[in-house]
Amino acid sequence: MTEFVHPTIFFVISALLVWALPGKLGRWVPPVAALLAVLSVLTMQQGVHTQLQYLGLTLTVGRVDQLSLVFAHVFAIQAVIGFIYALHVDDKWQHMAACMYIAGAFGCTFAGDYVTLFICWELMSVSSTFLVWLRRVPASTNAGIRYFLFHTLGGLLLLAGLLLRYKALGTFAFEAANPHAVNLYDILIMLGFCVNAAVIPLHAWLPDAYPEATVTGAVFMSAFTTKTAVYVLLRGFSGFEILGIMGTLMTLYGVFYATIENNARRILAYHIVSQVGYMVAGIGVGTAMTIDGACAHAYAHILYKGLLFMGAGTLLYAAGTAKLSELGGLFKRLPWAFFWYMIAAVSISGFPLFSGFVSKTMTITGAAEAHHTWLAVGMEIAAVGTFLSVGIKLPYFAWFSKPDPGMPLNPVPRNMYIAMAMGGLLCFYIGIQPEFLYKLLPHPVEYVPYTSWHVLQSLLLLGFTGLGFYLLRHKLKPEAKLNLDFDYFYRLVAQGFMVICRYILEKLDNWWTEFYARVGLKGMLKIAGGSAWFDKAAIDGVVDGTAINVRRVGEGATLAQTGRLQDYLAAAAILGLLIFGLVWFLR
Amino acid sequence: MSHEPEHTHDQPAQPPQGGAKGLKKLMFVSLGVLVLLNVLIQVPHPHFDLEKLPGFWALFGLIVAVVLGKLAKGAAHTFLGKDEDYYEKRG
Repeated sequence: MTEFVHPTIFFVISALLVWALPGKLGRWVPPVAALLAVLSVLTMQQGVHTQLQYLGLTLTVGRVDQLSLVFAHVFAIQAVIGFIYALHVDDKWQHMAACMYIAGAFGCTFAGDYVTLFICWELMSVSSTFLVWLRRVPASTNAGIRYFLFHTLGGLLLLAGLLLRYKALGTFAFEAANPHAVNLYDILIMLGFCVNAAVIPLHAWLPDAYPEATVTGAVFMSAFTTKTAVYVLLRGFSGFEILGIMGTLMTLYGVFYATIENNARRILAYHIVSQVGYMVAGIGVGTAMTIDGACAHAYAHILYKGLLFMGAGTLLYAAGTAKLSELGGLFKRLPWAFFWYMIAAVSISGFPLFSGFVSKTMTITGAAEAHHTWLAVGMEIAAVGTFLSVGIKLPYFAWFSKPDPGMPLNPVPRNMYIAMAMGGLLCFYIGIQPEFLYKLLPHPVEYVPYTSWHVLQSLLLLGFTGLGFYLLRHKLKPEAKLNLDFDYFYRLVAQGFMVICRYILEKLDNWWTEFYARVGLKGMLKIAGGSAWFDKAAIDGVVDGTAINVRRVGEGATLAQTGRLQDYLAAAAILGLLIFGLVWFLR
Repeated sequence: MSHEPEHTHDQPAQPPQGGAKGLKKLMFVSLGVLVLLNVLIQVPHPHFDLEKLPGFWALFGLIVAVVLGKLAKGAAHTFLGKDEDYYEKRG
């Protein structure tokens, strides 16, 4: 019947319904919207669909091709799983933020031009900030502000790049950049994308903010922000060699930190950096096989990383902490959380029969076949580190390692387990039916994952990693420590800015005030003397009425000014959406 | 060429009870079997020469796991690890 229904529509309407309906009823709307999104993705036809006129530009909001379809497919599925996992959450603002966040992700996926992309990009950034803030503890408020500031920086890089590009090329069309003729605007746009893809050293926002997000918010965030960035990098910057190197470094950097981290959700956050590294490396190598590998890995990753965050979130929800040093011995009381977590853990580690095996080995083999042997070896090292920290260390110290600490546990709602089972079964299904995934990919797949050699190699690598952990198990005991990362430098920059404000700008301001008081005011008084006559004689009568109105508006505005950045941001975002909506309907 | 000997007689840290001991033995035996299999099943398209060595990827996994663990923990104990309220204290 219809060729294309934009999934963003479902999520925007769902956000409004959640707001309007009473809480218990409203919660059921987002999973239904996500199911409709699955349906719309499964039925949509390839091609360029919806075009809008906005600000005198033609915006393409519905570009559907094989590449956007892979990502839309898994985004829709993970949205269903995520909203089922969040079904017990009482706070309607969390559901609304998640809806708008996913609406933005779909907007980016189908965007055919940079303006649409930028608008949706910023929508994601704002609404995901709320998924951090809505945990409503001081640590998350601070982390959310840092998160938002950093993403604003990324957004500005993207904006600068796309405007310069428009000036040079006269188009906003979102097409692949040429790796052999790189312009400044390409670099700016790529840097903007790299912020969201958590490419080192621009990654530190991720392990900073994700562990402070709400239990369910982190499940959503683990799926959409970095993978949207992977998608736009795939579309725009395939074959940029620097990405191959940076991606491999990311895989190593992430596992290095995951080995020493204590907070379960931070370990998983570092593993996003590591896993996205495989995708970025695949994009950088840029052969058909590694591009397919990057897409396949993104698909598999969204499912198992969501499941890992659900497992760790269940620990946090039940025990009130995600710190391994405070957990341990919980197997008897949380066996199912362990079971589903382990399905995801063997998937991310690339065990045969599970999803990571059919996607990760594709990227590595692809890199090796393109004669990037060092990149392939780097990714194998990271594969060892992945199993070491996510596959063994985290579950061992959370569920075993010592007697049950006996802390009271919050009962875990059934919907959380249902969502975990859905994710787990999908990880297994993709592992045994790789064709399901391969036929979604942009290039025809010749790679065969289940050869005796691939299986044996994986088992050798992972089995002896296990032996390594066994030898080091006392040394690897998690410690309640904070590990410095690049955010140390971000904070230095922020402090430097504060120093400039405090000492230099304040001085300038004082000087200007003084200057104004001595010189400016005298002159103004003279002029004022002249105009006072005219004012008294004529204008007073007219203005008085207006003044009273202005004061009334002012009083109204004071009520809205709570002095909290969150509130302003929400107001600005809502206002922006309203204006956008108006323009849309009035065009 | 195989590397089983280095793990079959491993130092026991805490004496495990019956079931766990059996499981441990089973794990070690299966690691040995994997390396033996590697003698039979060779890499079809090696990307570098060392890869042709039976047991190469086993040794790779073991060495990388140990070196990564030692390096990362070493870094955490010397310059990366700080108190949990490090940033709050610095203001």
